Amino acid sequence: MNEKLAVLLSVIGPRERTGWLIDQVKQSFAQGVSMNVKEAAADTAFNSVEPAALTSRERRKREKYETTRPYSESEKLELVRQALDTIFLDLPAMQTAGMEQLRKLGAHADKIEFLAPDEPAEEQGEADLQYAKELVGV
Amino acid sequence: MTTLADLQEAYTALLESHAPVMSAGQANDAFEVYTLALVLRAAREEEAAIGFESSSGIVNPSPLRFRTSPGRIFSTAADYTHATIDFLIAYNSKRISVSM
Repeated sequence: MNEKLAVLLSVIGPRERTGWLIDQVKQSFAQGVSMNVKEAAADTAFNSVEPAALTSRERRKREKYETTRPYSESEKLELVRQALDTIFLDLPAMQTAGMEQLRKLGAHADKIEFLAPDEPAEEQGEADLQYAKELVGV
Repeated sequence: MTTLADLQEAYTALLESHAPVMSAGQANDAFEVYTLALVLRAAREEEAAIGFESSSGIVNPSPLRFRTSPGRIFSTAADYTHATIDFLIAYNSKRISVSM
């Protein structure tokens, strides 16, 4: 990992309010960059991890599939920059725009609250079934 | 020369303390409100009447209360808010209201 990226992650990572962001960025690092096999095959590093015994027919067949390659250091740095942009610039703009739009549509509320759902998802199936039975009088 | 401690201090003061959300779930909630607003705006552009109502029947409640994840629309466990979308359409020479 390059020094700039390591410093950036060490500054942002172990934080109460933004630590989750870096966890997600690290998950993206682990998943790699999605690309098709045809594109990946142009990279000699990819050839070295492909099974050697593939016939040319099998190779052609594989070309329609997707694969991943590791992020480069500069791509990792760019991903962190984009994540910070999204959270500190795009998200507040989206929050403001959402609230303004709801007001334009007639909402009088001055704020939005988020509450946990009434029941855990796994209990909802049984409750839904019960409700459906009540509706049809079973 | 700027030290790592300077950078950490600046990050804390200028960014971290102003983070708009504290989890991925909260970021998703904000996105969902934005998406809801887009859906309602699209319905309004198709001449629907838009309203807001709570599960206990309060019209245009304040604040708007949404779930952090899917739940049952008929639940009265909390006074959740939902939007109403009403289209007036012509059917057999009558105008009828279709609510969503």
